[in-house]
Amino acid sequence: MSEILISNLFVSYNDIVVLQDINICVQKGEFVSIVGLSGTGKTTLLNAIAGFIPGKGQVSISGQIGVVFQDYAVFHWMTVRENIAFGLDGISREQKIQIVDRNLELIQLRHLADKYPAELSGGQIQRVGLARALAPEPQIILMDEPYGALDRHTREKMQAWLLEVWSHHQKTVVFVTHDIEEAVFLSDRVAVLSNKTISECFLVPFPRPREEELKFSQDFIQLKKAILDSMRMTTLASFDGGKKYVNRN
Amino acid sequence: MKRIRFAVPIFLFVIIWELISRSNIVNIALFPPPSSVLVALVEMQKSGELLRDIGSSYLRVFIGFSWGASIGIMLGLLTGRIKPFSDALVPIIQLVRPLPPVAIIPLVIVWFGIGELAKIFSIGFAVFFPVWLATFLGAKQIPERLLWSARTLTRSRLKMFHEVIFPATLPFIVAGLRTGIAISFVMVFVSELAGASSGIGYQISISHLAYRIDRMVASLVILGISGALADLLFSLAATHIFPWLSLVRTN
Repeated sequence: MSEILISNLFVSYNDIVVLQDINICVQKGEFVSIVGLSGTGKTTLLNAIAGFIPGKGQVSISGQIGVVFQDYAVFHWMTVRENIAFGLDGISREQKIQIVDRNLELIQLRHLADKYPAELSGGQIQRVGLARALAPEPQIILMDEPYGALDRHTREKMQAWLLEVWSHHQKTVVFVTHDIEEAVFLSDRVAVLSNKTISECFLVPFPRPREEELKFSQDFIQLKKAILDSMRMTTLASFDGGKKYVNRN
Repeated sequence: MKRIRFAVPIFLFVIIWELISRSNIVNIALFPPPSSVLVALVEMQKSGELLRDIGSSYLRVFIGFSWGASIGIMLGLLTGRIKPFSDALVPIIQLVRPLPPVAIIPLVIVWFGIGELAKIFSIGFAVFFPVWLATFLGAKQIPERLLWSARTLTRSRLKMFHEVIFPATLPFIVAGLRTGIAISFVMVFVSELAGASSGIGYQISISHLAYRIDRMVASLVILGISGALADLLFSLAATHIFPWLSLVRTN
């Protein structure tokens, strides 16, 4: 059963079409990445899936969503503990404490539970952001370039950790990134967004659990190249169709 | 070390003032030296006037500031975040805001007489605008993505206001309140010039009539110190209640 089903989605801002004819479905427990060059509307697509911005067409989501953004990931006026507890409404105090403790354990930040985000590192803040999204146990997690601001080393650690959490919790994840390597390493499927629509989808055949070494294998590099080509091809094709180019010939 | 660095210029200023006043360059009756001001202060203290004036001025500032600031914060949040409120109220507030608050005092006296209510009303009226403006702008600038992610976590509008919108606006509110504190000291002084029988402003005005320039200066010093102290206490209290405020500022 698909948890996210999008068909014929159109999104426009002030009469300018940003996304057109988007069709994609994401299965329960699937990890799907959306890649694309800057300004192709990746974030807009994610926001439309989450229902933050309106669009024409069908977006059906079965289940509660949690979101993790690159910036504003956490509330800087709450401690780590308070951040994680924020989404836990309508349950008893004891239950709340239990869930928060479990999530603190999960992100390995128990010792920093009463610190404010300003006292944490970028990677730690991102983990708090994910724990806050996970705590109410949504079925679907939407992530918008969550690791865009992290250095390579921290980023790789966070990727490994995210895969671990994901495989444990069986969540459906839609992950937006401009980093193809990251997308291939994490996902079951990579969707390329270009020219305002999803131009191609790639299946990622590598078995799990995946290790860092995978990134240096021939197959991995080839898949990366294929995705990159797809991103560029569709972009070039859109230039070819442009009037300027045609007139010059 | 920091305290010494803060105190040295003040100390030097007092010394130079004393020397100039006693040097016959200026008329000592018009420019009383700090030593005479101190004598006047002691005299006011002994007669009980000092405490009485400080007490009544502070009480007026406190009550006036409190009501003006609370309404300012409340309407600032509502107009900043809820469109119908903004549509209905912002044009009116923007129209009244450019008025110098002092200009309403004669009208306030007509409405409320010359008692406490008039003074408290004028102070609150003047405090309202900077607090409202800062809160309004602060509430408007909250990044949409922050509110979106909060909305996926809670359905309660009250919780959104209380735990997200209010704290996200708080650095702006604090800035607005500090402007409000400064303005409330201006307004308490002005409102005590007429129709008061106690207060620092009253003291300045009767000392003026009695040509007691040492007392006038002494009262001015008290007024200045009071404003600075209130501001200091306020920012200490704010970072004590909301410890993350100082963290956010240094980051």
